[in-house]
Amino acid sequence: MTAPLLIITLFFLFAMNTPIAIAIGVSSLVSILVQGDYPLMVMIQRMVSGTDSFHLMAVPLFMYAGVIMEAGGISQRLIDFANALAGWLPGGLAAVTIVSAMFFAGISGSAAADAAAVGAVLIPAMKRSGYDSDFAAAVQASGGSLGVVIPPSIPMIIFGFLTGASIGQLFAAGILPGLLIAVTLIGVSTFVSRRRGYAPDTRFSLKNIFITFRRAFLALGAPLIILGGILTGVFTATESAAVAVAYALFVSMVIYRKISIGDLFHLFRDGSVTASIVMFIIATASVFSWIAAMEDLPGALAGSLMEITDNPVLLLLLINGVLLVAGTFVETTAALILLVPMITAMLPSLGIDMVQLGVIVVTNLSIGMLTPPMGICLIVSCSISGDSLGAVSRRVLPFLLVLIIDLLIITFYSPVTMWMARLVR
Amino acid sequence: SMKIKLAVVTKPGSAQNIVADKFKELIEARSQGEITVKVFHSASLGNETEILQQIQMGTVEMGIITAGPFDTFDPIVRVVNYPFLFKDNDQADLILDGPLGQEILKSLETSGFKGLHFSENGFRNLTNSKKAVKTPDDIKGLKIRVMASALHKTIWQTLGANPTPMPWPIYTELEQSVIDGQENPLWVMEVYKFYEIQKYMTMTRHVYSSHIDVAGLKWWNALSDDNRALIAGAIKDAAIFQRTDNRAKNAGRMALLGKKGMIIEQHPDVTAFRARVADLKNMDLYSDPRVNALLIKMIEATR
Amino acid sequence: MIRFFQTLSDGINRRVEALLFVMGGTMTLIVVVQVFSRYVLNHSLFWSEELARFLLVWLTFMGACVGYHKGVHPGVDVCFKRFSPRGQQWAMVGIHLASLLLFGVMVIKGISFAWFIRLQISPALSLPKWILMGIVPLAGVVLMIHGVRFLLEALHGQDLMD
Ligand code: NA
Ligand code: NA
Repeated sequence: MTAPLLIITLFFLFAMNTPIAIAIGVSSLVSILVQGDYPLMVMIQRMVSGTDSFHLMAVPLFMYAGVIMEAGGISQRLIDFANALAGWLPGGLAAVTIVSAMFFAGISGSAAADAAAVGAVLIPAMKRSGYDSDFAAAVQASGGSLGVVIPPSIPMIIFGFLTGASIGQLFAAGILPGLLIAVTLIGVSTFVSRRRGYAPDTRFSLKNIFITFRRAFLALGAPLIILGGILTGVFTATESAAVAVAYALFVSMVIYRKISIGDLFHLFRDGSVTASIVMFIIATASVFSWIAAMEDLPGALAGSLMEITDNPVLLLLLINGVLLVAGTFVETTAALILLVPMITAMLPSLGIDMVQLGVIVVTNLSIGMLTPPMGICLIVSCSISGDSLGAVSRRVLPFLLVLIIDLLIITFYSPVTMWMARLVR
Repeated sequence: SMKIKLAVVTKPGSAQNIVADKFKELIEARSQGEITVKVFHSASLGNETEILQQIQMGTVEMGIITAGPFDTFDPIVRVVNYPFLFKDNDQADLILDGPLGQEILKSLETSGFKGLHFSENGFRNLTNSKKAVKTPDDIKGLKIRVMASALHKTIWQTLGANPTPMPWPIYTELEQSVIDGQENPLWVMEVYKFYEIQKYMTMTRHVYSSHIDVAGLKWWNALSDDNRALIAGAIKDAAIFQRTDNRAKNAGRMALLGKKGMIIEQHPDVTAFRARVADLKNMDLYSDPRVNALLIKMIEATR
Repeated sequence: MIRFFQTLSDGINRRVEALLFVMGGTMTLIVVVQVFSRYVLNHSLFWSEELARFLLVWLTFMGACVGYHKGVHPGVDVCFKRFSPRGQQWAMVGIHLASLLLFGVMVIKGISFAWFIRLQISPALSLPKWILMGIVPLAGVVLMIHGVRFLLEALHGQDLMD
């Protein structure tokens, strides 16, 4: 009785366009009231407990790093360097967009925030170079969505927080799948660019590469700290995020002098608000998962999936299917908190490592950011390019096709994820 | 028929889960299925402090909870964690199953818990990657990871170490020598493969880590006498089963750690360690007269 | 009436924004200092992790208030977009009422929970836990003020005119 009520109220509130965090909170509240045995005080305990975590501190810290790098000109220098490296290829600007979008999407972990930052620069640039507007938006959306597979990545932090899997290992495990996705996305965009005759943006120039590299030299330190610190195990994800904030602040304020003391107020405020959007969903979804656990919902759902099949391959395909559908309709953080307990309940039958499962889950949900209706990156890109959701969605289709193939490789060929993960303890 | 919700934070196979699963097995058999138990494991309902709050609120009926988190509800439980208190397993059983242990369980009633029995993680021991430790002097300057607890911090500070609070897991930190050592019951060294990165282990037995098998007092008082007797009997047998099981496994764990190349100091200078921490009984944590009185009785009884 | 709640909600929001900056900056600083202290000074801080976590919890709920005031908490608008203007207005009234119910529970049950755990202290800093939990009713009050404002605006159809 409680479980169906919980789900029905949730979907009703979603349909009314209720903010996701509030919809989850209200449906939990209604279920507790109807169920009658649980005191409402437990909601407060779960809301606080859900956010009281050292690991989740990485969420706001990466957001600060993102806004500071953007405001401090670090992002721009990195994009310029990428453009010098690859902009001269046919369809090169599209490749630059994909690489930049994937990289930045991880820094703030919020694909949407960075789709906006990178897209605001590169979508107009692509249009100027003669790319069709809807294709430019599709390229940006694809790169931005899948960026969370490459570390650092807020969804992976949340997965680690939910399951106890090592965040460092999850990050490491995402590197090769991320590269695979980047290469295949670039392959598609190059193919389309050649057929449509999109001209290169710049000419190949060693001198230009050298100049942009020198300008980006200090800026490159930020990704180096984040990736290097985590992969060598020197820092935890949270610590590396904090050090990246300190480094980005130092470079932007002291060397580039693009951020003044007065700017700090806005940067920390904006970063905090973006982080709170994710964190508030975690808070209310913690109440939801408590009720779900009390009612044994994850076990029941896992059980009904396992009744369909207990073949690990089919089960993995089934999980991918559920996640893809969920990612299409539900926001990423919410989908993680609601679905991960069910999926991990099936782990013993899957015969794979928790870390690989994490990458599979995150890849699925990030593909979901690229599909309407809840395709957050798609929506942001459309709003920058000024195209309709329908037009861009059509242009996204070839990208989705290769992403499904990538997803199958990640799911069924474990070395792609686990080889790097095993290097990190 | 009655359904008991019992919560633990650990994963299946861990010490707490063994008590929980045994209790479930015993009570369901003895009540001929009249009483059923649903075990919530892996912290699916919250951490240990939160489970205790939920037991107080009545959303959960029972829990197998380590002694540490109790101390914010009732400081008397700190007595169990007093450093170098129990000499060995037999002494711990004798005291905790005897009148002094009963005094602790009884005291929990003032904060809404029915303390039923003690089970265990076992004695905590020290490992490190730097040097063999036999006396307190060997510990000087070692960076030891401790739980975020004022007591554990004070113990290691008093012993001359540099206690470092750090969230679990800590394998990477040990491997990178961010910290030199850690202290935990034996099963942790095995399950988390600390033998790969920690050369030295000392059987310090500095703190006896026990669980309290606990129920909500309001729920308990509403039970029939028969059911109370049934539950009390089942949890007692489950707890004793788990303690025996844990100690039997410890022998195998020691053998494994030795085989993996750890250098194990079986007989550290416990008298010297005890002397070093003797003044801790006067620290703030034990200043409550009720707590202090019981601590003195405990120290007398274990001398 | 609307004017009063608009002024109140904007005024409170400015103060919450200032708090966000202070808490976010402090939390970052604490983690940086912790890293510096551990790696450079070879000394671990006992209080830093717990204090930073406390700040994170406060930050979450304060940030949620500012996000709510700005209207940036994402929703799913597929169905909503297809409603008539009148339908949208009533849906908004319904959403605001449901939100106010949640915020009301945050205030009332937040206070009872803070009272319920009034004697408990945090393990590392020995800070009373009700300070940590107290953010929930506090944020609940702020959210309610914004919520009442949005409700009044929706009832007067102001959202439709924007
Ligand atoms: Na990325
Ligand atoms: Na989607």
